[in-house]
Amino acid sequence: MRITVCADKGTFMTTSLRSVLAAVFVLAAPMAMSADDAATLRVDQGAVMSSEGGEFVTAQTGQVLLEGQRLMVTEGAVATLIYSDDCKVVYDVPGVYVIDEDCEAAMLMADGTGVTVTERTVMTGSTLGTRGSIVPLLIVGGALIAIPLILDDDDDDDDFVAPPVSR
Amino acid sequence: MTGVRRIVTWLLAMALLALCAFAAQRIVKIAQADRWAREDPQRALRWLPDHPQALLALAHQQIADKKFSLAQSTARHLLAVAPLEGRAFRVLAEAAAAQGQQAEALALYRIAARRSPRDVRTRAWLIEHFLGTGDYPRALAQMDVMLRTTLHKSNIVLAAMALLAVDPAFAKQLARTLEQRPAWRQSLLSTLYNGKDSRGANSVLSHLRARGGLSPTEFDEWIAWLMSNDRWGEAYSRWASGVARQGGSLQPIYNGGFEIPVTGRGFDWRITAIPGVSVEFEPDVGAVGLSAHVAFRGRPVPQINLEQPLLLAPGAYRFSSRVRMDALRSDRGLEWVITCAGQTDPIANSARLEGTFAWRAIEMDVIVPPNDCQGQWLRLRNPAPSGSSQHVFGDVWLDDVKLKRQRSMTRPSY
Repeated sequence: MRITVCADKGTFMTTSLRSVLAAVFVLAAPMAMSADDAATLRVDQGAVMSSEGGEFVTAQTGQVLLEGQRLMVTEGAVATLIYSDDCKVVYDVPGVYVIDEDCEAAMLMADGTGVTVTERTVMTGSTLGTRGSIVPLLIVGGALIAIPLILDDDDDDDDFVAPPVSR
Repeated sequence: MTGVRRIVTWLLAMALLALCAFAAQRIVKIAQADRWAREDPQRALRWLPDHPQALLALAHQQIADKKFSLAQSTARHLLAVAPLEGRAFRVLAEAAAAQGQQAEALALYRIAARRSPRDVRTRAWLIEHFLGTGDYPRALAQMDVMLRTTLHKSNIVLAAMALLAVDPAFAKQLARTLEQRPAWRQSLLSTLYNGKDSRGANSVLSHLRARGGLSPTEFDEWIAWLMSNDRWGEAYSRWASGVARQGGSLQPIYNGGFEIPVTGRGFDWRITAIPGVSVEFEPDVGAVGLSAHVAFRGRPVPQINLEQPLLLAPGAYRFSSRVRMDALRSDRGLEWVITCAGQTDPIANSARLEGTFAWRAIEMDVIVPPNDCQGQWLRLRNPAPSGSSQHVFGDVWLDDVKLKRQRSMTRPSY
């Protein structure tokens, strides 16, 4: 959001009006900053590059990124975007991300491109499938998954080597 | 003498008869026991009390009926008649596990795995156990054995691996296993590519690449897979992680001056073999450094074998290239085009070029639309449609292929 204050030539502005406008400008300035200067970059590790639409150039910590610019996180790199309200978005998956002025939207975008799952696989138990098969239940990335390692009881007998008739 | 001989003959006949009767009843017993061993083990055991398969089936029934003491007794009976039968240990292990004796169960399952390596239930329990305790190296070792010994279960195990690869720790260990190039490596990569969740594939391949365990061909397949799944940004960043950056930057067209050896992978120039066309990178009078020399030998050329994928943000660009031609003849000349990935109509065409002329600059405007154009392709094209004469003769030299952003940045809609 851009806030511009202008006065036509010859317009008479009283002191009180100037004061009011000045106050409005001062109050509006942080809002203008937060909108124009979408976020400040912190390069945590690795190579991070930014682009205004053309070439990608190496990005540095402290660099201000504007809405619509692109941030490229290479393999092994981690970058954090710090918004004016101290909201932070961490990018640790290689990709090219479009900077959004809204921190929460940026988080969604980061999620959509595959932020690393940090939840460890947790065994939650097992259940018996059809005909007594074992179906491990795991939580992976926050989702419950079942892995049917055995599908039927034929697994018990298919490789049974019968003893010779002369036993 | 004759009487003695008759008696001996009679005795031999009786002995043979007795032997036949014994063999017959034995055959009947074994046949009946074999017949009923799986369906009705109790009945089979009435025919042959030591029938191993019937004992195993009975033990399974007893485990299923939660009669664990009886199952243990049956398993011990089975071990007495078939000491090498690992599945008897598995029955003992199942009973122990059901009674909460996990340490004993683990020890018994390990014995069962050694004696019956192909027993799926044993492997399944061990995999489940090691996954649950986070011991991924041992879980993967069990999966590896299962994949090598139980082929009819391989799809299930590979699918399980692909699901579990979403967990970064599992993916890291899986990459280490793949580094050893097991026989199922390519099958797993295919399973990962076909999985619903791309995070698993990316995680495994990323670890493999970091450890130098990904071949150039496999890396190409990964990049192509990302692009085919509309993940051009991720494909670009993964490719860019390993390329030379001139002056610390990456131009919209990579290696536009052809000064870096063309790799043909990722977002570099790609050259495919087409009969009647050859591409070489060589110095030329009037060009700085190397230029691309494309020679046509008068054969029909539906497409030119020089192209590059691009990752352009929505907006306006100015394309430029230096070109020289020598006796280039074709029905409609040659042109540079840029198309959005997956589409056929170009978003930009250059002027069509033919004839003979010295180095000169050509330019074209490019507007990348905000929607449905996540990635683009830059191609040198023969615009003659199929059905018309697509023969091309002569030579063309190309250099300084560039794209410049034209206006101040506009907000993309995605």
